[in-house]
Amino acid sequence: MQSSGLGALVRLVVARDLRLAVRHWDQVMQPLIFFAIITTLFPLAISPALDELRRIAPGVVWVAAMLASLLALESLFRPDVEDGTMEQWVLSGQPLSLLLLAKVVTHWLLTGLPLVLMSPLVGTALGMPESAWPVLMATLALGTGSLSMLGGVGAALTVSVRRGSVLLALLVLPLEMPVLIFGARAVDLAMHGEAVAGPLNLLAALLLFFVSLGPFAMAAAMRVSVES
Amino acid sequence: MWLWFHKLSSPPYAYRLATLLRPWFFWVAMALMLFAAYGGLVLAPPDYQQKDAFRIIYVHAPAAIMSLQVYVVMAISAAVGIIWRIKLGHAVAAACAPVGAAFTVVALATGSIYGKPMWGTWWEWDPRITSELIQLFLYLGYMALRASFDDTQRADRASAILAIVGVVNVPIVKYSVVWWNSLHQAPTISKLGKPAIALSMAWPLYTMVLGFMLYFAAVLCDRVRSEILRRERNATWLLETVKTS
Amino acid sequence: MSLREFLAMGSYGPYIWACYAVTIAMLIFSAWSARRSLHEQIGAARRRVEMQKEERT
Repeated sequence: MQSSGLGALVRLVVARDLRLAVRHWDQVMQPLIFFAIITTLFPLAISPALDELRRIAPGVVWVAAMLASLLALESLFRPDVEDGTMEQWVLSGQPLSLLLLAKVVTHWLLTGLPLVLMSPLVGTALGMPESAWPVLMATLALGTGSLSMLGGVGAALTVSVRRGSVLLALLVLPLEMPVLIFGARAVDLAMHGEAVAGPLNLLAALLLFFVSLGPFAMAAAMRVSVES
Repeated sequence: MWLWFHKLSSPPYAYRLATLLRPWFFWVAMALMLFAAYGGLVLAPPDYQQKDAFRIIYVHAPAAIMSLQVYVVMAISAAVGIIWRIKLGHAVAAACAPVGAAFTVVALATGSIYGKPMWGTWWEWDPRITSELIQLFLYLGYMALRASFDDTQRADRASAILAIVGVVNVPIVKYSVVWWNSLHQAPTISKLGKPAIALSMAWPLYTMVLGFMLYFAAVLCDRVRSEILRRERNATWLLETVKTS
Repeated sequence: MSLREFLAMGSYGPYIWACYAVTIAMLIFSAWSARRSLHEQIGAARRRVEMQKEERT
């Protein structure tokens, strides 16, 4: 009974967050618009020549995705902490790590997945060939998952800090650098028609690693942030 | 063993021990460093490839080694602090961060100066220097998180979690940076690397590393004492200690 | 080997001495700042003791 009760609880969390997102769909859109704007900056700053842009396209798309996912983290836990829901969860005796994992997964569906779906559009604008799309989307799908997990730990640590968003960037970005390296390089290799299995496997390994350990770090961090 | 551990983790005992040990660590460190500097600058013969420039390694390499080692010490003591609820663990972790960051800055600065005669540029995206830079960011993030809490206990626990997450990530960062670099450049032997070196060149290096470690221990003694003073404001033992000293 | 030769370090002198200077500066600063904050804490603790004494009398 316990497990089915837990499953129901997780479903409840996911359903509630999805409903809230539908109601505040403008907030869901914001990271996506941010993603598009950042990638627009590069042609303006560097050169409109597609040849030049093509060379840096994987890096640009990846950096923009990283920053957009960072921006989206602001809305991950803060509303729940502010209205007291999180405190209830912490005190409820339910496994907090699982509940937070459910929240992060939902959050990824709302912010990570749209980024993945939108990436070919942005990539094309930067001169990326169609042949690189599948790899671009695959790296972003695996990579933004890792970013969400690492970001979740950072968000849980900084949620009670006033003006925590800059601090969050400072904490999370250095830890996210391996994901950026593997993701951007895989896309770059794909654009040159080379094998990408290596970096893709590494990205998948990182995702598994972060998903298996991240929830516990998140739960511990959330306890520190909420209890007091 | 357990008893000893318990005794050590009690703040009064640790405070007195740190007071007692500090001068030993400090002066032995000074002696070792001077000796190593003499060995490195005077006794060691010039390298056949890098000539005299290799003598920078006697300060660069120990600083780089310490920057990583201090982070590990910090994470372990933070873990001890959070798992067994030992306040001293948090005090040690808090004391480590500024010293570790200082070592990292030195490793970066000397690496950059080293790069000028070797590569002809002040900055090269060499895997070691790049991961050193990321290491600095990790220290800065840790210190920023600690500084953003007013309450010491919450600062301790939050930064402990960050230190543990960070130390788990350090090998991943190192590996990814090496992998990243190997794809962009022909795999040459890193010029800041350690080729098999002759004993006359190696002993000053090891001596210097030992000197740096003892220096770190000495500075840690001072910093842990001030952390203990800050945390135990009103403990009676502390007031006694301060009065008599 | 003359002192001049030693200081020149086969034309690498400026780089080498800059590195050692940076390192020594950090070592001194790090030890000094640790000492200073310790003395500040001890001073603060002493003042607390004095204040408690005054309260008692």
